[in-house]
Amino acid sequence: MDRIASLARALRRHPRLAVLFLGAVGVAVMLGLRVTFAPAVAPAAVQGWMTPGYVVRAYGIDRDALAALLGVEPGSLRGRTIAEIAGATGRPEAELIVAIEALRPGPPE
Amino acid sequence: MTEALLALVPTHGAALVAIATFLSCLALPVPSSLVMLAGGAFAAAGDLGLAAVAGAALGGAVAGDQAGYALGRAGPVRRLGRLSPALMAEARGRLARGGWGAVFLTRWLFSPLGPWVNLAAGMTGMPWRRFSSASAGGEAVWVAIYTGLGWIFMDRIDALGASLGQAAGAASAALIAFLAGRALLRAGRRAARG
Repeated sequence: MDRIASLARALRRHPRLAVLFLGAVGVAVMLGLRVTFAPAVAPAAVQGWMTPGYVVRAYGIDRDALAALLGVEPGSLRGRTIAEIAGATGRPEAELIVAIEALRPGPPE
Repeated sequence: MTEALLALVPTHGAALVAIATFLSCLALPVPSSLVMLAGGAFAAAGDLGLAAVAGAALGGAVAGDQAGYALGRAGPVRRLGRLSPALMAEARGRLARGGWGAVFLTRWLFSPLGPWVNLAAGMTGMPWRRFSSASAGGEAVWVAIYTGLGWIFMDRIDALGASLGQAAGAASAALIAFLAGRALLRAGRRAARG
């Protein structure tokens, strides 16, 4: 009780420190709740910033099938994004993504 | 914005990672954590080399810390300390007692506070060797955590970046609340005695 009384007295006497304390508590609680209740989930669909290597590993797409779709040797597109590949081959990005999505393995039976 | 940034990582590689960590250590609003996560993820995908990504991140971060420290030592910034000699004396005392731990922990656990601790260390004249060893050790932990998590959770770096940023913000706010609360309690006790 002594501590609470001391804190209440200090809050009144040091308004700037009190604002800092209460503000920091508020920010900590708000961010803590957001971290707790917003789990990090994977994006549902393939996106333009991803590379062929990325989608092979993240979505379990067959490397050779993807290389055949893109018309290249497996592993020859290191460091290039799907958006860049679409631009270079003259295919609409959305269309290429749909074709890559079709290569994703289905759910296990 | 996030997607445009993520698209730059595989094409610009280690150089982009180094620039991002360097600028973030100077308190510039650069999403260096997300860039490091992406570096780890693209290393797992085979687009980048993990050692190159981690080395660039560490080099950029340590150079950024050194720049912040040097800025704090520079005349114009140091003269700001004269505005509040009592606060400077308090900061000098605290950094002399627990400075190594403060610098080490603000590299990764309380990372939003890191750039300000760099300036404070320079302004208060914290010994350079002490500062540098804590900075290098802390940054190595920061880089290992973020590139490692990017490698392991490569399929969810975007969401993970947001969560880790919020977690570091929550930890920093909790630390500030703890320090401010302790100062208030002490002030309350002093007033009760007086």
